[in-house]
Amino acid sequence: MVLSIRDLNLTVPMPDGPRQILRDVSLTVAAGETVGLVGESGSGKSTTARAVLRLVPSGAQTSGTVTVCGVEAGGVQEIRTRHAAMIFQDPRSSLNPVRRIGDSATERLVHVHGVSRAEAGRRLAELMAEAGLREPQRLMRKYPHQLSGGMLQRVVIAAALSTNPELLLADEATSALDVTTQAEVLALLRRLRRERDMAVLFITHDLLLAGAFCDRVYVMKDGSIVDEQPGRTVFVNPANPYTKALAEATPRLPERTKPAAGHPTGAAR
Amino acid sequence: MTAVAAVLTAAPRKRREWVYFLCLGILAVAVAAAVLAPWIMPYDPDATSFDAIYLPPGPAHWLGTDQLGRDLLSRIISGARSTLLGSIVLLALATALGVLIGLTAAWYRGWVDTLLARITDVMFAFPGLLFVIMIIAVFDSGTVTAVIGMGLAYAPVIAKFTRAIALEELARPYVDSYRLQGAGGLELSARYVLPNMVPTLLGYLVVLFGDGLMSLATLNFLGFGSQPPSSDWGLMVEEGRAGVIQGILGPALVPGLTIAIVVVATNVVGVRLSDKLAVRR
Repeated sequence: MVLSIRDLNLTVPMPDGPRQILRDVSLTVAAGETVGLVGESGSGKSTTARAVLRLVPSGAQTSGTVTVCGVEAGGVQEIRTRHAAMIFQDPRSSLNPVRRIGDSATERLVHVHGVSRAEAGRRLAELMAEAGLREPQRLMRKYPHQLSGGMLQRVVIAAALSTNPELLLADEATSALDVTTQAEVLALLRRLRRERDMAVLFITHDLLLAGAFCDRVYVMKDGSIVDEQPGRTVFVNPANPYTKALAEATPRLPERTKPAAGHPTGAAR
Repeated sequence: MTAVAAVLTAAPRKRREWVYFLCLGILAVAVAAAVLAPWIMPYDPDATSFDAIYLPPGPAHWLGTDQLGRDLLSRIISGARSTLLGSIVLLALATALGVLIGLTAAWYRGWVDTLLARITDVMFAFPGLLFVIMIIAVFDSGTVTAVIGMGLAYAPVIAKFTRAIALEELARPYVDSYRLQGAGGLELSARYVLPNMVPTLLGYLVVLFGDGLMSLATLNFLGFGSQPPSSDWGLMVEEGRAGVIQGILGPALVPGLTIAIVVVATNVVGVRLSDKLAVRR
């Protein structure tokens, strides 16, 4: 198993007493497997992923075991910098706004892995090209505000992969992108996962998306995992009552949509 | 026409660009006067002349003379030096201290944050001017004491502001990336997070500059700061008071108006700068 979480509990002190954020969370992700973690806002799915990297809220108390590639989360720094990488929802704030993209995206290679600046830049450019970005050398000299969200998320993915992680934690990685870009980024993630035999923990609030993209899906509610199913069936045939409720809450388009008269899409037909 | 429609069809509010540029010009003139003072002063600012006491503005003395026959224009120009420099040093000291405290509180949170918050709250509850007068009572009156004291009094204001914007900035994911690399504490905050706060901080500091200038002038007016024969603007107002009783307004009015104009100009520029820089975020 690349990632294995067993009985993870996490409690955060609040002014009105301690609050339990995670309750006995257990999950596994194997090499080359994409596992979805679905739940509503505040269900604890992000906290679970962040706990793998020990990015826990200050003062939090944890119990249970988290191992990445057989390394217990005690050897924290090694997991953080070598075995796992995380990508976040908002690509715009995932890179330092006042630094050139090439600089902030290669920082990890240079500072932690001791790769030379030139070599790190070469490796990043290669990965950016692989991620479908043209003229990576030119893009690396730009600042984050000069690029679109989709392009930035590709840069962030390239930066995450530059250290060859065995595990990728994707926290709502496509939720801030428009539908077309989202499809492209998902296709990219799928291809990279296949080529590198990488394990992906894919966090989303979108059950339909998780079902389509993931091999296996865990459903979280109030800090506990309430359901686990293969991606194929989770949306089509939800067994668990809560999963069913989530599936039914997903908006659906009617069979045929009709564009409004005079609307640009109508003219395009 | 309904109210909503009226709002929608109204012409966009005209930005008063010229006010902004006028204020920018005023500040430029003030700074230029301070820098070039020795070369552009028509008279020696400290030279007294008993033949020329309380002269009204005229071709020889554009702004008139004071009770000792000193040329007011020359004194305003030479006073720009000590007045502006004092405010800059005051602000630099307050910024260094305030940013350090604010960043520390924002990064460490917990009891460090609480402790620093309490200390700044106490400072807030205490009038800044009174605090400085206390310091001056303990040490000695003089320009340096006044400036350092005011710098200490302004530090909590900047600390609070810095803490607030630092908390917002530290919540961004790129900070997590640095954490994952093993960076943390003040090093991370100062090296990577602070540069992102500079635009917001800068606009605020320009506004505070006008405020600091005013406070420093007040101290000088009260006689706690610069001492005669300094031509600090606040002190000039104080010395002009004697004339006001006799119905001669010039010597008090000229430095007073100068302070008012410069403070208003820094406020306009500072607020405008904050708006401009905020749009970029």
